[in-house]
Amino acid sequence: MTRFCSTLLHSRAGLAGFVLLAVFVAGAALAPWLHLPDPTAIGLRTRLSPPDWIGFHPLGTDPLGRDVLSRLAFGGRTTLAVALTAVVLGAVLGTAIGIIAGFLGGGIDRVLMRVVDIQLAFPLMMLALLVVAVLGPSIGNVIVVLAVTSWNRYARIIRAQVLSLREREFVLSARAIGASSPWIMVHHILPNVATPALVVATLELARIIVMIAALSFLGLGVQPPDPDWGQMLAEGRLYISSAWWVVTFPGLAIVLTVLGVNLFGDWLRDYLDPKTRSNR
Amino acid sequence: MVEPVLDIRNLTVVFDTPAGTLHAVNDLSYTLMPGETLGIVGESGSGKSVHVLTMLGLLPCPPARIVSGEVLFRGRDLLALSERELCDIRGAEIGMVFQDPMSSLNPVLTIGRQLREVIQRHAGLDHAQASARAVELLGLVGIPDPAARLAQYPHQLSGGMRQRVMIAIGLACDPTLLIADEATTALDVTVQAQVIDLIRDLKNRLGTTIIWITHDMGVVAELADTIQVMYAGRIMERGPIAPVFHQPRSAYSWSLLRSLPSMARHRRLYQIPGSPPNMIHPPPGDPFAPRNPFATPRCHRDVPPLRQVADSVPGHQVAAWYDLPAAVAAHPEIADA
Repeated sequence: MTRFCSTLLHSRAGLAGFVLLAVFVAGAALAPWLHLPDPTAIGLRTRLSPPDWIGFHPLGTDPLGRDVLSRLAFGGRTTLAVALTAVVLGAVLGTAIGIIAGFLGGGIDRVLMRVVDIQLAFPLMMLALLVVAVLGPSIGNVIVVLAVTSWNRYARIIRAQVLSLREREFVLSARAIGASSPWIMVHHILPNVATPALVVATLELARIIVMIAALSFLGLGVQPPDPDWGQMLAEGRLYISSAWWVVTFPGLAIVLTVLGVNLFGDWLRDYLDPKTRSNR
Repeated sequence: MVEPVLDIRNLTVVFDTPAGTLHAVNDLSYTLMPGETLGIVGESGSGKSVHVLTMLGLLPCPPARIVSGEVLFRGRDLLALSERELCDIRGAEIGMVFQDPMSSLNPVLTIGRQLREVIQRHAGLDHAQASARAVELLGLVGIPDPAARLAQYPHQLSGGMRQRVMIAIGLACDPTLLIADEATTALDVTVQAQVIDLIRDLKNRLGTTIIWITHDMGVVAELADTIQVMYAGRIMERGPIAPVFHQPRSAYSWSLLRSLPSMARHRRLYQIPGSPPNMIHPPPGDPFAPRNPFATPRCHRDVPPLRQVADSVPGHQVAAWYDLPAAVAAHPEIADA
């Protein structure tokens, strides 16, 4: 843990990413205890009031007079929780499938990779829209849809890695000490693909946050009155010329979170690589 | 009578390739006594690695196919065991060291974890006991400051150190048999000498039976009790080190020895004419006959059996139709070429 902190403090980009992420995660996690106004409380008399840094609505209010800062914080809760769950689901599923397909090869590999091909040939947004439209918009469905559109990226990349890894001599030496195939997959292959999986996961986290926003923007994600960044963007877009704050702040929140994820992910990849680890 | 550790009987292994059936190991039989160190030499494709991988069940089948034979390890036929039973033998009763220490250790796992893996897998020790045993093993193979090494990654160790770690892994569960497949080939000469010294020392201390596969006659002379010269998946000559080196009876081992540089004799190095046979269409008789200047007509026709050399020590066997000392004496111009 001390090594984690000291190496993080030495990387400007990594630290910036970590701070950005920490601000948004903390803001979202602690939202109920920050004494913010009710994010769903409508106040028609204060609708579209501009940001007032020292007043009651620091980031202004939306067309229904709801506090933007409060909605941003509460909206972050759903956006980040949905994104993280979907990424973890997709990563676990995709990595497992990638390792199995790559390591065992043969018929299993062919079947799994054709499934990936089919899905890659299908527009992701279409698929997401279709599933959510059929099953109905709910947070659970959104998570499932996003995980389903995400696993094939891991599977593809991990499988390619495993194909070269399984020919390496350490796999043969693991067999020579009596390790079984499942054991080798978990204890020898998985640690070797954890880094690429993590890289994909950071890229995916960013993409999924944007996807959630897009789904909400289209009205298929989080349902009103629950706040969500994408939905805030959608509601504010009509007022972009008269009340810039309504779209700017949720837009900034998305951009900065994604940026933070990417910067931190980049640093994390270097941190976890044993080759760079020992030089420090 | 002492039971042999290993008794290979009529082992034949082929590879089914798109171009045809490749005969990798042909009717191979030999025994290995407890405490014996067997050096197997031969060029690439002579079946020396393939037959050990076969007996450990490490050869992917297909394309490999075991046509016939049995491999009795302490009385049990390894080829008849299930994968699960083999897993219990590999690493515990038979240790193996591979050629390239750069790639045979997992780059993202610490040395300690890789050592503990084999110890915990077979000896059933807990984490702390396995760590203690790992430190002990690293000390045994001559790695300084073993406790600190456990937390290091393979890339932090030199090639020689990594090969020592591989040997430590091979010896972790006190195996009856240690197989080293080209274990010193990837190392530079000084490190090679250190590793050979280490193996010789360990052999004397632990009494492990060793199969040492190499293409370096010098390494075999340093280390082995018995030498077995293989060519085209067959044994060409086999016997105690001294008689085979001083008076080889197979034209192949004779050629190999003459192609070694020597400090004593200043002459051109001998070059074996031709190249190894295509094992998809092996020659019908003695596989070395096409390259053998002493080959008789019968060599081209029939495969010679491996027989005891009449006028040599017991155990010195050769597969040849010709009598090499007589042939060399009759053709001094070839011998001096």
